[in-house]
Amino acid sequence: MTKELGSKLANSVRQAKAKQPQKNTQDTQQVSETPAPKVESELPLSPLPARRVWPD
Amino acid sequence: MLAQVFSVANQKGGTGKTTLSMNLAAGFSRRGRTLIIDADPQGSAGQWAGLSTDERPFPVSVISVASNLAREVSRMRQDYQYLVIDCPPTLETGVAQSAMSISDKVFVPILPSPVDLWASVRLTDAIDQIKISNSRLQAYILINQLELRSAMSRSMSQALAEFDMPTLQSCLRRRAVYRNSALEGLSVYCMGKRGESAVQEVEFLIEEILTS
Repeated sequence: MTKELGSKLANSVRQAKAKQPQKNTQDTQQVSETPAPKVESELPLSPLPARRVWPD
Repeated sequence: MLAQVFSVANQKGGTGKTTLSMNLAAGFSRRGRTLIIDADPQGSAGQWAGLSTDERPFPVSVISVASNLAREVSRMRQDYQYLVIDCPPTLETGVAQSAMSISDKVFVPILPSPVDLWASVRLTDAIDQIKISNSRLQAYILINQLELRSAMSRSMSQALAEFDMPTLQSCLRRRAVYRNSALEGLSVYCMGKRGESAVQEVEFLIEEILTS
């Protein structure tokens, strides 16, 4: 039973991989070349201060 | 010597990222100076540590970093031996990617369920892309909340073989003590006899991490 279930799970993962959208090379370049600015520009406003130390 | 930087990431919520981060950090703190970086705007790591008391403080400091993660980590690397980054459960903001781009190792906790497996497929693609710029990054899957009596849990290895990422031999079992320790603002290391089995598996995990 475990083996059968394992096969089903493995098949479902293969299907999930097949459904993945094609990798966008332009996005790859953006992430790899300028990771920090991307984070800054896309971060939502946080209610927390930029850096909070616990404990003080 | 610069700190080793470990990220805990999965874009799916509820996979145990914070629980893993907190207990890993508690274990690392027994080996060297350790800091937890809470990169998740939900702030669960900070909330966890904030529940501890002065008499029984959480053994590791938590800082919340909402921006300039790379710069903050670069600065912290000189003062600590281990940095553990608890990533947000999304790839949309770029924070998890930033964390992985400055990490030595990333751990992806996956629960033994089909939905968790499917959701993790996208993350493996993201990790592959980050490895282009951060060639030292090593990525590992960690099975979390394993239930030995469950056929689903026992079937995981077959499904995980489909991922282009190794799975750690160590895994964390589903134990109430992980949840209870959060409520007390502690790690499993401080839970006495109730935490013994959990401590043992976290220790196995840390040894595997440090030697892999």
